[in-house]
Amino acid sequence: MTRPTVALLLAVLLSAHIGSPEIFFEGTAGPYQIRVVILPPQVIPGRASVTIETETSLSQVTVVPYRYDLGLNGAPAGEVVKPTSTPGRYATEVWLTTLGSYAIRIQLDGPQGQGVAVIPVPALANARQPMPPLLGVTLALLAVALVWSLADITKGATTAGALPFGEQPDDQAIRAGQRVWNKTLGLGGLCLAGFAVWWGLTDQVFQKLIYRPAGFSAELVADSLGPALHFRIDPTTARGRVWRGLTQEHGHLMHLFLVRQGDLGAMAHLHPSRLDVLNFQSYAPRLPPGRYSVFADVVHVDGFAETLIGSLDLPRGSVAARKATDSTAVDDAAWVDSDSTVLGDEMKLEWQSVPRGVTQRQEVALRFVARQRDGKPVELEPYLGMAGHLIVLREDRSVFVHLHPGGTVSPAAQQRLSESAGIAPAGHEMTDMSAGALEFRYAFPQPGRYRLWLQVRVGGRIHTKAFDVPVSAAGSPG
Amino acid sequence: MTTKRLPWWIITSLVAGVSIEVSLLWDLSWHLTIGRDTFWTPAHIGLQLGGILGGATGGWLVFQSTWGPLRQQSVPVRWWRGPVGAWVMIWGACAMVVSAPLDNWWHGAYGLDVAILSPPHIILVLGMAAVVAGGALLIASYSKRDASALPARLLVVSNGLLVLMGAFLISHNTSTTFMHSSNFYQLCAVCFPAFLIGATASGARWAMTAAALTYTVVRLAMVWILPLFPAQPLFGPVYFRPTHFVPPDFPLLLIFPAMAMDLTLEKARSLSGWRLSFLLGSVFVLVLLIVQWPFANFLMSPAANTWFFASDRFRFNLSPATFTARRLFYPWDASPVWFGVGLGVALLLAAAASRLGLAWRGLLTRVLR
Repeated sequence: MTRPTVALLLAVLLSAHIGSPEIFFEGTAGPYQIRVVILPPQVIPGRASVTIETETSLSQVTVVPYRYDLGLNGAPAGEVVKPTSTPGRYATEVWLTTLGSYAIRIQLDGPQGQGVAVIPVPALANARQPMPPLLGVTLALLAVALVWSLADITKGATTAGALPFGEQPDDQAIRAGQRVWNKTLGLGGLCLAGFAVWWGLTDQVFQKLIYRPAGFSAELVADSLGPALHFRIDPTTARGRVWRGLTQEHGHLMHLFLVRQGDLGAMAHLHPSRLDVLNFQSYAPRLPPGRYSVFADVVHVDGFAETLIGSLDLPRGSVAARKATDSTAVDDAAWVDSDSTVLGDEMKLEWQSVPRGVTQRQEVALRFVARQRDGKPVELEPYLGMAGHLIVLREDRSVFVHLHPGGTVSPAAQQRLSESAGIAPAGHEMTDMSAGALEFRYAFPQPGRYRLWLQVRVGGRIHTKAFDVPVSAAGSPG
Repeated sequence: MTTKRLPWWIITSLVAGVSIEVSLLWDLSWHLTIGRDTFWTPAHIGLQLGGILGGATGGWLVFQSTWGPLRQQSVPVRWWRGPVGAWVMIWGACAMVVSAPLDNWWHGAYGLDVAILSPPHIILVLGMAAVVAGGALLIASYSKRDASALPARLLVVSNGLLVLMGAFLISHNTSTTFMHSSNFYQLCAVCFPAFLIGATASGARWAMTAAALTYTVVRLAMVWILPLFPAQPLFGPVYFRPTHFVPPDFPLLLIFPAMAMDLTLEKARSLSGWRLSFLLGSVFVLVLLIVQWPFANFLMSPAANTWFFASDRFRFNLSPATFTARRLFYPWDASPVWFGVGLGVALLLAAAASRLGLAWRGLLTRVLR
């Protein structure tokens, strides 16, 4: 990966997903159906904004944040959330105070009793907000004014402070006052310089806490069975986060996506096997040659989900079929070397309603449907525990997110954090799969062209299809 | 010199100082107990009121001096005139205001109050200290025109308020767990002797003892009053779950070194400058060591787990793994030798602080306007 690419990615990194900070959850909290949107803070301690929507009339909604290692025993008192002017909508802000893997526990009390949902939220320092130029100039001028005025005050005090009432200062007193003015200004300047140095050191310490995922490298290797992909994690280059052991998500320690750079014309969703704690290996899918971006979704044992980023070169003719006895191949991996897998004559994957006029940061429902050629719905089968998977990638690869109908939340992270607080994990939205329809709610964080890959399982086979969505800047016409 | 009715601006400048000091301790307790705050917590309002009252008092005096009857009692600054103390109070209030937008940006850039002593907080503290010090200067100049004992006493009190400010600044590193380390004595050496010595500008007997008493009384009042009010943590992680406000630490036994310094000053009238500074500084450090070291042993013992000493009232987010939570002395110094070296540094620091204290006393003694 080139340095500019790394810099671009690092600039927008946000834990489990890249460039896509908002957390979406759609599912159940006990007897209630809820939708939750959380925007984590940029820095810690900082405020996460939490929006909860439900169609049931509730008597009370309570939220409390807790850290994985302390559970609810280390949580502050829960806070009652006030409803907004929109019926069924509740909004509040929750403080995350230390770096780590947090969850927000949402408790709903209503006519059907109590319901609880746990939404994982990473507490990370993501970036330092820049100083607005106007504020910077204003503060600099005020700092100079403070030093200058202090020099004026010491001069006045030296010149006349000890004079009996009515007496005028003589030349000697005036000269002494001027000397004190000079000294105070010099000393004040030194103090300002020291202040700037201190600020710079504080900033340096902070920069070291800004989150950066562990290093991740990929290479094409050959073993006795043929070409394979080797992946290596380097936790020593991670920042703002201690590497912990990984836990399985949908039965795999790693969900890895390869996307060909440039035309985004080929994509693979693989599940490399673990060789040891830091090394993974997968068979090499038959992809066209080119340079590939590698995104590896992993979940740590503390419920912290993150995406590791790397790149991979596949030279022409490098990937040949492996022998049939390949033990690292798994049946739920899939790849496409065009816009879609050959769906055959029997079915098609398409928009249920083509999203139009999508603007950045505006929540949209991305609705798809799997139909037979004659238009009848196709019954979907669970694929990795979900009705479907949607991989979202911005054209320049600055945004990458892996969505489920239940939102962006990792079920494994949710389970780990629920267990740490002794709470039964909340249910994810599970679409009626017999209708073949799928809905993913999402807000595209930036304007630009996005490519979406939808993956479903039908008839025991995984089908993948790419869709493109243009997203316009907020405020610009559709 | 005649005895007069105390002018209202002396009272408001003192009220501003008291408001700032009490609110600082209240705010400290708020952060130890609740964690989360807003711009409008009572403690913050108390701080803002202190700044506004000090700044407004100074502003009124400048107005009256530039265009009104107080011209003769003032010093010139640019195009305006005003008493020295008024200018210092205005400067302090301005510094407090300047710190606000920087602090606001700081919270967004680096997180909310990750450290107590951050650059914006130091500007705020400088501003607050200037409001209190400006009050002391006003009282000092006024005391030259009022022979009664009250202005002199108020000058002692205003220096006591500055001692409180110093104690607040170093409170994080002067809790019981640090009282057997040289760093504790170094920090105390830096923060206290100057303002104790400043109190002697009043000319009162036992001035330093009285200034230390001011610190002790205000601090004790907060230690005893704050825990009467219920409060609970609104921030995590919660390791200790207080049900009432967690008080600040029991006051340091500054009264004893202050008494010793008063006696020393009485006996060493012939000394001045650095000699006197070394003597006063050494007396401060050594007497503090003699009384605070064994007292720390007591504060660590279960006998101090009472409302009176409040040794067992921990902030909500104090990790149980810390020395403070385990009621152990932090091994700051690698060996007794290093403690000795550190104590030597403390003596030098105390001498320097005392020299500054003599300068501050000189200022308070000389200021007429």
